[in-house]
Amino acid sequence: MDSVKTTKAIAKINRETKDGKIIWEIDRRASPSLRGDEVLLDNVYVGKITDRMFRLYRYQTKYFVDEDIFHWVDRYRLEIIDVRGNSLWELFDNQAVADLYNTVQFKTADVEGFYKDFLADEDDEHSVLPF
Amino acid sequence: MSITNDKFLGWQLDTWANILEVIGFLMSIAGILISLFIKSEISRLKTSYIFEKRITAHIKKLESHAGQLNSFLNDYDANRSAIKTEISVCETELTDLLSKVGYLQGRKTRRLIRFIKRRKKRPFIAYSPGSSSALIYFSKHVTRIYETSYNDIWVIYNSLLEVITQMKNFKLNQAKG
Repeated sequence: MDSVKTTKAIAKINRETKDGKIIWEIDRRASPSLRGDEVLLDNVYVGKITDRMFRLYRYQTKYFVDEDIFHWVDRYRLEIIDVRGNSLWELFDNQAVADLYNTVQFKTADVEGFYKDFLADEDDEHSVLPF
Repeated sequence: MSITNDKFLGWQLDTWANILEVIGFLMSIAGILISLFIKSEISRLKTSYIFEKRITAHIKKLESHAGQLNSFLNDYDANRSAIKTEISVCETELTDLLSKVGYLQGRKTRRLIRFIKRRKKRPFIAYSPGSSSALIYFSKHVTRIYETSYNDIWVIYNSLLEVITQMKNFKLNQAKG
C-alpha cells in the first residue's frame, strides 16, 4: 500500500470538500465497522466520490502502555463501503484523515452559513472603532 | 657485507630519503582519509541519536501545523494573515528538523522550506475559484512570481503531509534497525 498516494488522494478529497465539489452527509443507519474496544464518537459521514461510497468517522480506542494500563486515544477511519454499508477497504489513518474529518464537520454543520446569518445585521457602529 | 654496503650504505642516502618521503606522504594521505571517514561516521551516529530523541516531537508539531493550516483554509480570505504566520512558524520547525536528518533524507524538507520562504514574501491574494482554461492553468506560474495564492497554500499543505509521512517512515525504519 502506497502511503504517499493515499495521503495525496485524501488531501485532494479534503480540498474538493472545502470547494463544495464533494458533499458529505450524516449517516444515521446502523453502526460502522468498529472492532473490539472501539467506541464511536459523534456522527458518521458518508460521501460519494467517483461512483464510490466513502464513510468517515471518529472513534476512541485503548492504547496500552502496560499490561493493564491504558488510555483512550482518538482515531479516524476513512473507508470505501458498498451499498449495504459493509467496509470494502480502509484507507491509511494519518493526519490527512484527521484534517478531512475536521473539514467535513465544518461543512456539514454549515458554520459559514451560521456566521453569515448571525452576523448579517451587525451594524458598522458595533464592528468599527469610533476613532 | 659488500652487498650490504652497495645496497644500503653505498646507496645514495638521497634515494632512501626520497623513498621514505613518498611512503610517509602516502601514509599521511591515508591517515587523512581514515580520519575523515571516522568523522563522517561520528556525525552520522550523532544525527541518528538526536533524530531518535526528537523525531516524535517534531512529527507532532508538524501535524499540529498541518491541522491549523487545514482549519484556516476553511475560510481562506478571512485567515490570510493567520496562514502567513502559521507557515512562518512551520518553516522554523522544518529548519530545526533539517539539522537532524541526513542530506538525502532532507531533500523534500529543503524544497518545502525554499518554497515557503519565497511564498511568504509575496502578497497573499484573495481566493478565486480555479478555472479549467489552459491559459489560466499556465498563467499561474507567471503570477506566482509576484503573488501567493490559495493554490500555493494547498501546495504547502500537501508537501507538509508528505514530509510528515516521510518522517514517520524513517522513524519506523530506524526502529526496525
